[in-house]
Amino acid sequence: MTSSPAYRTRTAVAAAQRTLKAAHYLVVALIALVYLFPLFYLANTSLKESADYFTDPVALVTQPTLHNFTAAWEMGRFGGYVVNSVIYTAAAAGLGTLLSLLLAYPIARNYVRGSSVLYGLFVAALFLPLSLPIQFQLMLALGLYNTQIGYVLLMTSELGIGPFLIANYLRGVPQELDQAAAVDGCGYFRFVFQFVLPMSRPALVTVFVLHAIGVWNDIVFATIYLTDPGSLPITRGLFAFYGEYGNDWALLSAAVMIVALPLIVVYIVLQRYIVGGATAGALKS
Amino acid sequence: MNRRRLLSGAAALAATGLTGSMAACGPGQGPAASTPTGGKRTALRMLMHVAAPMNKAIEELNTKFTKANPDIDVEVALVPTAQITNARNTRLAAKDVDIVEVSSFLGGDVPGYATKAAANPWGTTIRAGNFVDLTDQPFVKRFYPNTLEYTATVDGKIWSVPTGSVFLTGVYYNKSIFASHNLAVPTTWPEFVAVCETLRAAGLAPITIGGKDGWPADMPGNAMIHALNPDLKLLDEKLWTGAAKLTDRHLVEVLVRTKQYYDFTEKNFMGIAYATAPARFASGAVAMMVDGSYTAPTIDQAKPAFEYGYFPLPGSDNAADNTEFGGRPDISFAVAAASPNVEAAQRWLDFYSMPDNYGPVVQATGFLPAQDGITTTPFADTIAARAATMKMAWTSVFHPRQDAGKFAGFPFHGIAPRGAYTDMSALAAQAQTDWDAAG
Amino acid sequence: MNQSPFGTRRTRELVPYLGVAPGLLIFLLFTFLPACAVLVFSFTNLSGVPNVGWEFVGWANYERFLFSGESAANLQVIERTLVFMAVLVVVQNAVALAVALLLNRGIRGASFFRAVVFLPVILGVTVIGLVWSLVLDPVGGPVSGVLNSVGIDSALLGDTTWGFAIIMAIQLWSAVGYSMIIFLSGLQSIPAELIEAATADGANLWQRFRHVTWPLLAPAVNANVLIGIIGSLKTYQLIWVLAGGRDDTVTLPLAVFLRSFGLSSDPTPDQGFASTLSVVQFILIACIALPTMAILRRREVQL
Repeated sequence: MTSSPAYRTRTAVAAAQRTLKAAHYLVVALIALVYLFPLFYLANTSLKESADYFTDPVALVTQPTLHNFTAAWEMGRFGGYVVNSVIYTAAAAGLGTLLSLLLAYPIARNYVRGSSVLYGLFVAALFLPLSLPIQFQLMLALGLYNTQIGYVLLMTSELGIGPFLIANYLRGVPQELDQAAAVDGCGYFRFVFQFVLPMSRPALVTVFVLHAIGVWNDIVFATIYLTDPGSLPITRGLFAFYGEYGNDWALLSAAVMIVALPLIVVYIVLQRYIVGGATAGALKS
Repeated sequence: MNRRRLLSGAAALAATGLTGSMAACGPGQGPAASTPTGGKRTALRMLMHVAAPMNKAIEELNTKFTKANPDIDVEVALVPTAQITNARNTRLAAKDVDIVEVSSFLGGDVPGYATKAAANPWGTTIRAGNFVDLTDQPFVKRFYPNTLEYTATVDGKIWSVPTGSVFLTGVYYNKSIFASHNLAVPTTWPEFVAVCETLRAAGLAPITIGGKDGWPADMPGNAMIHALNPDLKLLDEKLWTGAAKLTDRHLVEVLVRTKQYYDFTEKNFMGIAYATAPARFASGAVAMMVDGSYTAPTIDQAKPAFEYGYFPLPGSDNAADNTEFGGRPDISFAVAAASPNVEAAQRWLDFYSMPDNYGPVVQATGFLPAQDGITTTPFADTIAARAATMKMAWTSVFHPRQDAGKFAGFPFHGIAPRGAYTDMSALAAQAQTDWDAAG
Repeated sequence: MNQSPFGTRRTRELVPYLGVAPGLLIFLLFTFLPACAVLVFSFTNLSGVPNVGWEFVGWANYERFLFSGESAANLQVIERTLVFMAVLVVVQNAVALAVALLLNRGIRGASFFRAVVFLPVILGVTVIGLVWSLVLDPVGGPVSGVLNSVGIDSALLGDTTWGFAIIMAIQLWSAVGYSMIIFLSGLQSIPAELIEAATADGANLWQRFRHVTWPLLAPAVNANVLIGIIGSLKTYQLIWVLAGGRDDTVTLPLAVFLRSFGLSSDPTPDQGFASTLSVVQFILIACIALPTMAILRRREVQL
């Protein structure tokens, strides 16, 4: 029967659920708007002539032009900056992850004396005071100022939660494999690279992504330690461009787009790995 | 529309990839080549801050220099203005620079009465031995002794070579707006207020300030101090010895008038970046702007053939007090003591000081020249007559008190909308308390 | 200590140390040693101007920070730093959790929305800073336009009262993505049967969250809190890009950077004093972080 109490309740519940679902979508859409609007506005501004932007900043562009892009490209060295950022990030994060693994494995297995002291050291290191001025004096003394190697080494040394994240992950991996491999004549380093590395991949990916994000976003150390225009990463290069041409937003937007677009494209392609990898090994700690 | 964007994105991406791969093959600048005669080329490294007119002028000078001296290449590193001190110190420490821009705005050592003032940073770095003594170099004699004495002399020796002087207390005004409202250049404070009120009544914002960077909003205030106090050195001394207090009526008047100035400034000026203010002025959105005389070339570039003038901010009721500008010498160039190319650097300075080369720099920057017989820009010509009567600006005379509260001195940042105070007597009282807090 | 089973009797004990050595060396040299040295240098007047000597000045820097005329301003900086940390730890995680719950299940295109929220993490601090400086332009920008239409006038980022709040909002915007992902991992590791069982027992949305989801999220919460606290030590790059060295937006870690290199309103570098600031921050963080972590860890164990 179409209007039994049970039916009315079911339809009422269904209606309530539909409203809830609609509200859900609405909120999610709002969130997406907050995240995507700034980028659309940026793109819109970059396609305007400077004069057009001045007269009406907010309007949708009516006569889009690529002139800002070509101008920004000629005036900045964005290709070089992106390459530098990629190299620094890959090198520092890659090396840092590797070193973290080499540290974490013997700590997890207790193969070195004072493993717990070492572990404690890395935990304590997370809370240590900022040592910017003294790091600077050290880098000067070592002759590493304004060298790309020096910068990468410094970026590598910030191991953060790497060793202890991997160590915790490895504690969940049985030790019998070590014995079996050793009996078979496998050497220490061979074991680490051939067996431990693949086994700890989720943690390694997390550590790599974390470290990479830190290096990619660095502007402070780049400001202090790099002065050659050819060695600047994007963070600084783009900021320097802003310093020089900051009064022309149309041009500046194009410059930001030049930097952001490839990032977005790469992100769209690799998104699953980056987003997934960012936490794959994190929660086991 | 969508396809266009997609295409532009694809183009940018392709271009990034292409240039990226090219850039990866070879770093920014190629290695120094040897001259045809087989000699080695020296690379002179210069450090300056970003200031488009000056940077361009120096670039052109360097091209001429390299033609005249084929064995020397000049590389100029530019850093944002806020970072120049940092860049200078780090590169000197790393022995990584030959010619350095230095700013010796605060002249001379700390006088005896300023017991708790910070040491003059210029003096400190000179005495630490970071720069080369230029006293006996022939090229320094081409410059005005007064300018040298102020900017370059420490312990009786000369350490740098000047670029020129700038006025800091002037008001740029839009001539056509003034004409269309039948306004004359104000010579007293009441006249200035009247001009602003007329403009406001006509629906135009009278003034703009590039307040986002903080210090530009201090400029009108400093100009006000300048107009209301004939002897700034004496004022500094009196504040330190306690003979004058920040709560004295004529000093509170500085704050009161600065507040009036802010009240006439366009709304939300605290969000306007300093770099964009000249463009706003040039666009006619506002009628006036306090800024240094060095901004003139930027305004010219923002809008060529724009008619504007420059008059001293008439902070006093008495027209006779408002005739002079306050200013200071601008940056100068020094040679790093640890540089391996001191001889080449001195050749550069010699080249630079020749009137034929110095002249174009002055023309491009709009500075008031530090040498005789140099033609300036048309704008600078209009104010050059007053160069002789230029007084040192407050920021070059005042010794800030260390360990004092944050309102010690003339706290323009405490005036609404920059800060919380609308009652200037209360602000002055707080300023004096903070001043005394240093004990 | 366990005996490594690899290698011969002679090399067995040594080889793991070889593996540990490079990482340990780099870490000690560039991170640990300078951090310890900062404590020492906080008692000196090291300036940072080349070739200027330095000497020990005892507690002078600390006195200057806490008891001199400028201490009121310094205490404001501490206050601002604490507010910043609270926002990073509490507000950011609350928002991230809410967003994670919204994007967990039940809508189409969830992975698209998740990717969008995570995007700022990839873009980098300079891009984010410049994009928002553009959007928040007080002269004609979109946000300013909307505010003006409801009668509000503001210098936005330049405003001395609200500027810092706006900066914190942008900081949240840029980092929520990462915290959200951690929460999503936590949420997805909660067995669906438990939720279904609770629903069958008559629990509504809130009750399900409070009694099933929230307790089981403890590891994710702890991870995010830890990251938030540590992060507040290093998260000053965005403030630097958005507001430079302004006095009304400076936090302690930013002040360490500014003072070390002469980038603040006082252009003279003062690395001894900057070291003092760093030590003060360290003490603050230790006093807050250690008890917090202890409480959270105990809660996780209990659950």
